[in-house]
Amino acid sequence: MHRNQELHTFLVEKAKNLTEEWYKSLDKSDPKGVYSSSIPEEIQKLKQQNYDFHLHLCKVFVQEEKQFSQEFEEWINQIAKDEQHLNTPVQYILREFFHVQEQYLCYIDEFASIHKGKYSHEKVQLWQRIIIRAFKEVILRFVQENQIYSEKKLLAQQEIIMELSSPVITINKGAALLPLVGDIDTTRAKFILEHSLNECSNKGINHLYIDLSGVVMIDTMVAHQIFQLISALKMIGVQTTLSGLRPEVAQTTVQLGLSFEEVVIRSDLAAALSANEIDSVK
Amino acid sequence: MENQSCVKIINEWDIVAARQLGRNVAKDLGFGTVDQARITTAISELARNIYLYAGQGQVCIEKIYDGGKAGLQILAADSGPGISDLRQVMEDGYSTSGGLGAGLPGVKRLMDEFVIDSEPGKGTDIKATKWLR
Repeated sequence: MHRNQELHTFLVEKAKNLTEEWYKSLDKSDPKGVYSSSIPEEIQKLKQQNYDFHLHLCKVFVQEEKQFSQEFEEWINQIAKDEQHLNTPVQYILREFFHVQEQYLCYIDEFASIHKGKYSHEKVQLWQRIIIRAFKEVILRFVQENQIYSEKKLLAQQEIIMELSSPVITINKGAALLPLVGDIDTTRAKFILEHSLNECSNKGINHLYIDLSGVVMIDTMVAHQIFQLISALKMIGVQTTLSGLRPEVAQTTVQLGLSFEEVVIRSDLAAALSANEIDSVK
Repeated sequence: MENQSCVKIINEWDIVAARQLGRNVAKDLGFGTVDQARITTAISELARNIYLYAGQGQVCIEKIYDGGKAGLQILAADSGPGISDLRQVMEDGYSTSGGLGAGLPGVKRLMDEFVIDSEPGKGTDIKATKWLR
């Protein structure tokens, strides 16, 4: 059996020391991340998190494995979700995990030498193996959680970028502008299609000006998506005018064999808008 | 090779990466904006074909020199299903994906030289060159 109440008590009593020692030995030269922070509240929080870790980890010597893992879960989730830790490169966090692991191994040696003769060498080795195994479990679970949260964060940011990148701006009653900028891939094209159809129908738009001056390249896929957008808009009663095609894009598009014949095109947005005004006066 | 850089095409983002690489090399060689647009569009078409039909492959951009002239060569290679009727895919308007069918003949028109080599079941190699004038 590796469980030992005496060792647990010893480590819990040392927990404050472990935290202080650990914090003191931190390399503050990390270019970024939670460990090099100089904000008192963040330092306090970090120390508390480290202290809580010790309270959980020591229990490996008194608790059943299942209960130990379950109780640890909360701490792992909290750290994985923690904004400061999310902004810390994962290699730094792993470095500190191993750093703390080393501390534990030293403390177990110290415990063994205090109680010389009481515990066999095999027993001490077993404890050390238990520590290493517990760290392995915690680290793996942490990295897994951290990965999940980072991915969620990235996904949320991508969605924000998507929404920002296809704004339907109302110009006056019934008319709106959709400026397209940058590279269009299939995911973005799909979003633009759905988003602008919804926006046009919600805002009661009957004329949408699509400005392409920020689009540096139109290949068959992009053209295909633009045509699809135009046809879909037509079906909900929205007329479209394209504008701002760059000269080099125009040449390339023609050579590629794409035909924009059925689409209303104006040289730039100003021309597109004034052309429409003349139409409505008539 | 110093004059050659490659991008593996595995997901859609790699198409953008290939395009950017092509644009940079074209700029570096001194191509004008129109030719840069032609080259990037051609790369985009070829990389997208790999992504759509072969699943994965590679696009290499090479600076080439022949006598006094310099040029940019695109090598698009995959080990996908290959093309059984080369003449058919080079016809305008032919498409299996429901696209506009301007792909390969369009690329041929955008570039100065275009060589396609494909074997059903083995894959497709396309070499397209643009010379600096």
